[in-house]
Amino acid sequence: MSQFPLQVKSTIDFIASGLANAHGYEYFDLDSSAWETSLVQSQQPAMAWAFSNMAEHPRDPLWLVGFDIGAKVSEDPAQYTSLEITSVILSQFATGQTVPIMDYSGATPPTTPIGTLIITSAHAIPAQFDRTSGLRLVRVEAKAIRFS
Amino acid sequence: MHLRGAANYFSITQPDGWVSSTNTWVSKAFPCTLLPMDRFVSEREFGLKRRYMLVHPDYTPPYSAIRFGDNGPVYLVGWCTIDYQVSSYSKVILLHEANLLAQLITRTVTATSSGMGRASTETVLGTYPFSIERVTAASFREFQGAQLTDFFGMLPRDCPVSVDNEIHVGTIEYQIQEVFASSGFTGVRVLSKKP
Repeated sequence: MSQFPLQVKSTIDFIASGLANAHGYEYFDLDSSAWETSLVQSQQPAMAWAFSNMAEHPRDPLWLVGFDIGAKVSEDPAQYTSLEITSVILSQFATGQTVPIMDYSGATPPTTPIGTLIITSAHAIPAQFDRTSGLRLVRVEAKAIRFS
Repeated sequence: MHLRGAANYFSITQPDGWVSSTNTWVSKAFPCTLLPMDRFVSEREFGLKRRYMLVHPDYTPPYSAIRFGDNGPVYLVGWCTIDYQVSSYSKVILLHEANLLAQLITRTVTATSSGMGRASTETVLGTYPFSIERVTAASFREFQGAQLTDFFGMLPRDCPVSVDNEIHVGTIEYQIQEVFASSGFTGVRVLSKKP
């Protein structure tokens, strides 16, 4: 159980980075934005996410998981680019969608699922603005079941 | 009056020129006159670090840094302006003293199968003359009460620095916040990571 939060986070990273690559977007972890200065300052749209919370519910192997994932955009007067990215995210993390949890934190791709993530809700939250950039996030809530 | 001859008559000083691509010095690279105009008294350092160099108007030093003697002061070479009287008779070059040696560092991240990077290794991109001056203390946003020091630095104009790099001077590490052109030099604003 001790590495389960790491494994869930790595699964979210895997899904989100694959989504960004499939649509040609840059991407970065919002909690590591200090190490991605050029991406944060860039005018190019990017996908960004932050792992928010994870708690046993009521206890392991059943968990509640929450994370925010969305679009960082500049020069987007009607927010169309922002909503384009948001739409891609909402279709990927639709309510009821299940995602196999695997440990993607190492260099070698995993082959064996160690749990399942079940999306229970996903909704876009109001946009935030900082000087030349806007950030529109989707708040995703899920339940996770650990197999091993 | 031939101002060219008069202006360059005392150009007998020959600094060494720094070749950035190989980090080597060319001995006695060109003649110049170093003007003693660095006696500006201030609590800021720029008055003591900047001075002028005169060279022949048809010559542009191909070096982004020079030094006077093997162990002499190192200066970054900045803006050039031409002095005219009917025609050009002298070229005035701005120098900025830079006696520190900075290693320009990039971090190579080890990719994981999730698509995100994990542990990173440091790679030295090059060594450059560097000048630094404290600006202010910057507060840590995440931890109240902790502060980092904000510095203003100068690098050679051909230094390939970006905000994704770090600068290491000895054991002191600086994170680059901003890169900009300044008076023919490359200016950086950096935060100290740790002493």
